[in-house]
Amino acid sequence: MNEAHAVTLGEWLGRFGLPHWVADLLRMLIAGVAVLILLLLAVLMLVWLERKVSADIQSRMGPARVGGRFGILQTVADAIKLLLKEDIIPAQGDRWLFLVAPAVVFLPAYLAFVTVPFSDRLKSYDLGVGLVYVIAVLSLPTIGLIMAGWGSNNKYSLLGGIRAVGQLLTYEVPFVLSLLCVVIAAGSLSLTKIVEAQSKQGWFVLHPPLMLAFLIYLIGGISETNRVPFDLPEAESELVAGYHVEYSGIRFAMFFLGEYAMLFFVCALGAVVFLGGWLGPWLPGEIWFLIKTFALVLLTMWVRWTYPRLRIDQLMNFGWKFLLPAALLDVFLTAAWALR
Amino acid sequence: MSAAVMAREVWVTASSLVKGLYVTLTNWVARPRITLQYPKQRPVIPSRFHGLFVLRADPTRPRGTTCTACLLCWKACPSDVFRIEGTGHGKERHPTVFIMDLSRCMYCHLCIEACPFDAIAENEECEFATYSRDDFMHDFDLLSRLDRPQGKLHKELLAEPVETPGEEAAE
Repeated sequence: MNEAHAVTLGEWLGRFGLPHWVADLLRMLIAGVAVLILLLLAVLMLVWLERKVSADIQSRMGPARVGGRFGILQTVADAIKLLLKEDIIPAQGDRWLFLVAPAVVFLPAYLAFVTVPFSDRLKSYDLGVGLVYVIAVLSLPTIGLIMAGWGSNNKYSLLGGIRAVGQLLTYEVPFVLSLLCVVIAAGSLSLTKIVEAQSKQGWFVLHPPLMLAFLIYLIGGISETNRVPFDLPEAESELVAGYHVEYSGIRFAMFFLGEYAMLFFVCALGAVVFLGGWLGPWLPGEIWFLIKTFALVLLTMWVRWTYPRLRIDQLMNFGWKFLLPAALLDVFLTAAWALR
Repeated sequence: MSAAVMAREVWVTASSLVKGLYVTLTNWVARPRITLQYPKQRPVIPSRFHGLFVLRADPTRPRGTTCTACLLCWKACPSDVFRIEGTGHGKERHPTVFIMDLSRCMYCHLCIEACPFDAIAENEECEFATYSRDDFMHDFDLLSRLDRPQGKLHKELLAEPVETPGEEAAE
């Protein structure tokens, strides 16, 4: 970062002679809205991309009418449709849990995004313990899922919510351990520092012990976002739609939004901590960040449209008996590698 | 489970995961599109397609039709589609009224199999949706004109004014 002409948004706002707290508030507002807009655009893009990728893999066309030949505006049309639909609230359910749950599912992905450095000059907040914050926030959507499951007063919803919690407990541990490997290698919890460490040591995926960590991260991340092959909380063939059975209209869309925002975040975090974030030749850092993130997104979509869903006992077996020991072993390996 | 068996299982599992990814990747890259963009692209209809019913013409017979009003199609029909009245004896027998109510038809084609003279047959047309229930009442005139040599589409025929009122109108 070139200190000579780099002016942060806060400094720039300070030049207008505003009171300190007004400038601070403005800064937070602008950064927050910018991140939100980026996230919403990314989700729109991701939903469209998912439909196109799945269509390609299954020899179909996917959206091909709305907004030109490639159906770019299909998601917008669907969002408008969902907005116009009736918002049904179960009479026997827990009304407030039911109403709040979609927001609880979406908000954490948005909150977590605040710490992500898009490039060395574009970041909203460089938290010193960024990774700890991210891990803490990432486990919040599960509370939203169990809220939705309980609030719906529906057997399938509740089963979906319970499964979500069980799955999170299982996969959060290896997920965090894989991130711990990165922390050992980088010597910092700050996401910016982790990327800077990679500019010296090379991308972390390229180092053998961290390669394994990356694999564990991906598996844990796919599980964290409740996607196939770990989509047990919403397994439609057994649980109808899991925790969002009773949701309709815009609240259902919020779950969708949360799911894809989460996917985008997990991929962005993977790009930052394993693939060197904004590092890359020729192109500006923001572009590199987006390229890497979308490469990971495509990878998760590829996995999603390839594998069938795991059974619940297989999921638990794999998580506790295989993934957790592998992650623990990898922490040791990384520590040994860092001491070399 | 011995270590060797376990190692083998792990290997088989891991390699089959990669194989699965390879299969989807080849599809993803090659993109074999089998979807037909229907209203824009038209399917190629095979010549023996079971389409809309027609009555075969025969100029040498009375009323110019192969049909002898033997009512075998009427007997074969499980859905009570036909309303047929015939007149004449022996080789002169021909239908005076021949109405098919296609809104009742389930296209089982038992009538076609029953017909001893192949008088009732089907053409290659597959688009016969209309806006009116009356349009499903196919009378003798329409059924005759739907025969393939006429080459006119169902909806074009429906739009045409009826030139000669059929005998059923006279009753």
